[in-house]
Amino acid sequence: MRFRISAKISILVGALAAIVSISIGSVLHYGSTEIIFNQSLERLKYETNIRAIKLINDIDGLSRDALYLVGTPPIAGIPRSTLNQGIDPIDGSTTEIWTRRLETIFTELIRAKPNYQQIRLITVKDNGRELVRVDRKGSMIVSIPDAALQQKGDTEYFKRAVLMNSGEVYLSNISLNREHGVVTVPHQPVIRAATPIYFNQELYAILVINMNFSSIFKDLIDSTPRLLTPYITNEQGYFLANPDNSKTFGFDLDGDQLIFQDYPSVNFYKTNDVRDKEYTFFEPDNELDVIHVVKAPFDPQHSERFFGVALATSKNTLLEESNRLRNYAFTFVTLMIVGILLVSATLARRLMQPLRNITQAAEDLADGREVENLPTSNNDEIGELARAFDFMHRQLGDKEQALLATQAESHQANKMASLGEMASGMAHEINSPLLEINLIAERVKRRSAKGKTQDLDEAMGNIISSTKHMSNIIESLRKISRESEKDAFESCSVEEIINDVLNLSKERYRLKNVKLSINYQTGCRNMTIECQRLQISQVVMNLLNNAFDEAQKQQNKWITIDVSERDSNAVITITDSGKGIEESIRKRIFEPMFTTKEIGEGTGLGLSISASIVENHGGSLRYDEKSKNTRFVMFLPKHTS
Amino acid sequence: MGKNILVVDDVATLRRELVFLLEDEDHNPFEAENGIKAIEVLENNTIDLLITDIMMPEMDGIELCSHCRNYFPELKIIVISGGGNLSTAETSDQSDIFTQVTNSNCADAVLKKPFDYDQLVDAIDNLIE
Repeated sequence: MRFRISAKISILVGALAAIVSISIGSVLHYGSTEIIFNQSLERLKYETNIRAIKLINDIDGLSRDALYLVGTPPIAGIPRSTLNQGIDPIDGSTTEIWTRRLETIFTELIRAKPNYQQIRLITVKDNGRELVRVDRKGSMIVSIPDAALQQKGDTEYFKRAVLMNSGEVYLSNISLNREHGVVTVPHQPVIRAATPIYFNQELYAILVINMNFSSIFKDLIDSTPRLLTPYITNEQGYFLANPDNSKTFGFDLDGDQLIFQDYPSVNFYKTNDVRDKEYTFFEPDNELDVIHVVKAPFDPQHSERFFGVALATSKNTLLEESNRLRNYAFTFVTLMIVGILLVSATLARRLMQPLRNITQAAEDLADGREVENLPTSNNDEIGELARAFDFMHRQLGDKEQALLATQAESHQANKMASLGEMASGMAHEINSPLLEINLIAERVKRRSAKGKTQDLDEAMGNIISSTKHMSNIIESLRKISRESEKDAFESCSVEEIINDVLNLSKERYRLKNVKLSINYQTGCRNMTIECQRLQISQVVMNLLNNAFDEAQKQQNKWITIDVSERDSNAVITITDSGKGIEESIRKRIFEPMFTTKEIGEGTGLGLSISASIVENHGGSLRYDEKSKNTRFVMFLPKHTS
Repeated sequence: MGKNILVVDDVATLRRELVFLLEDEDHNPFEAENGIKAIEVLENNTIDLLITDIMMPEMDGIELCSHCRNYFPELKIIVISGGGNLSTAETSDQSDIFTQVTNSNCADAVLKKPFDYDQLVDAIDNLIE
């Protein structure tokens, strides 16, 4: 496969660009992969911590609200009025009024805090009877009438809270709400904050707030970024929140779904070491093989109590950013390589254009066309090449001119050589009639001396015809041998031209037994052409000389001249008995100096000069490749008057 | 006593003049227009002297002379020629006809056309007497 230089350059540049880009891209990619992975991991930790903090804050807010309610006036007003026969000694309010006031405060707080489910004031007397209770029931907030109030002395929160000091808050575990010991549906995960109330340094009651975690968990899950999966567990590992809701609250619903089943590697729940706050675990068997778990300690009283807040994801997700970056980089690199290829291809083409011009010039020169567009003004190597080529071209031109001049001289030389070839025949032809005249003259002289004069007329007739024969030959010789290149064109008959030549050469054919025949196609005998007569004679002479040489070598010696017409051309065909010219040298026969003859036998100019003469006459001279004998065909435009 | 003399030349009018000349000199002239015809004459007659041109069709003078030297050793030969050369494409011998005739040693005398009447008569007399 052949590539142009420009293509090679483009491919080379493209390959280099590809190697460099891919190398840099790879280094950056592998370097950045770790950074991006770590960043993604940090983000995972951050998101987890945010959720842990929010949970802690929510519970902290619950404790604070409990303590805040303890500080409201009805909390002191109710025992004060109760101990003073139902009338507050300070402002005269009845217990009933204080109770209503407290209900109002509870109601307003529940209204303000959508997650608060229930607020109660429970007296420590009478086995923990509820004094005030406000419940959220769907969208309603209702104060529970006295008749419906219950005794809560047996509850865990009651028992715990009564043991606490003022300002301390008991926080229950989060569990599903129960009414009369039965889990309510829909499930309501609830935490209870309980704090003791002292009046005159005596424990008097406890205040309990129930907070519903449903929407908190829901928010937590809903606000989790895509591709991260949130979990919240209690400190035993039971799920409190899980996108798969069926796995939650196993401890309330006799289930056993623990985080450790999905993530066996999460192993720091039971260490009780406060320093073990958070860890990232890798769980190769899980589809989400990376999980970050934060312990969220929610109870200031008991630092070992905590929620496990976790976000799980996969390594691939963490690497997604990096992969995306890699894809961007890959696209960019690809575009860049394509761009570089285009640019380098364009540049290479532009750079190579002068080279192509030189190649074109060389082809033009070889085919004899005008040489143009040589980039000689380029100041690079191509310019040097172009200048060298131009120099060569001009040298060649000069040589060609010199050659043409030589060829012109050769014209004459060739003609003389052709005549020389015929000289032997002519010597014979002139000397024989001379001898004849001489002998006739002698005979007449002797015989007339003896008085014999009877054959005188015939003898004189012979002398006259011999003289005429000689003068014909001499005239033909004179005509043909003179310089004729600058002769004017004249109209003359083909027959005359042929006869001029035959006058000089027919004797030669006769002497060498070469049979010569001339055939004129009907109507062609008087055909005329516009020509430099002697130039065409010379061509015919050249062709006949060649034919003579060739025919002589054959057993069967003949030369045929056919004169015909085709279209507007006179056609002179000269065929000899030779067996044709070898194919290997056919195309060289019209080259100057090409000859198959022995040195001294031929100048090698005959055919090239003949062809150029015929072309100057607007005709053509060809070798007939189809003929089985050696045949040249000359076309010359007929004279049209 | 006249001799039998054969004149060989391809130009009939010239041949005729030579015949006239020989008759005038009291010889018995025979004539032939080329080498092949000449050999026929030689075989059928007793010829004393052969006068032949060189450049002729069919069989040229040199060939004729060589033939005669082999088959008619007694025959005297005078070559008459207008000059030129006999070279053909096959022979690279470019030398003059007279040189060739001399070299081939086939003629007793050589006359260059055009020659004088007396020159031929002298040559004939020299060879025959």
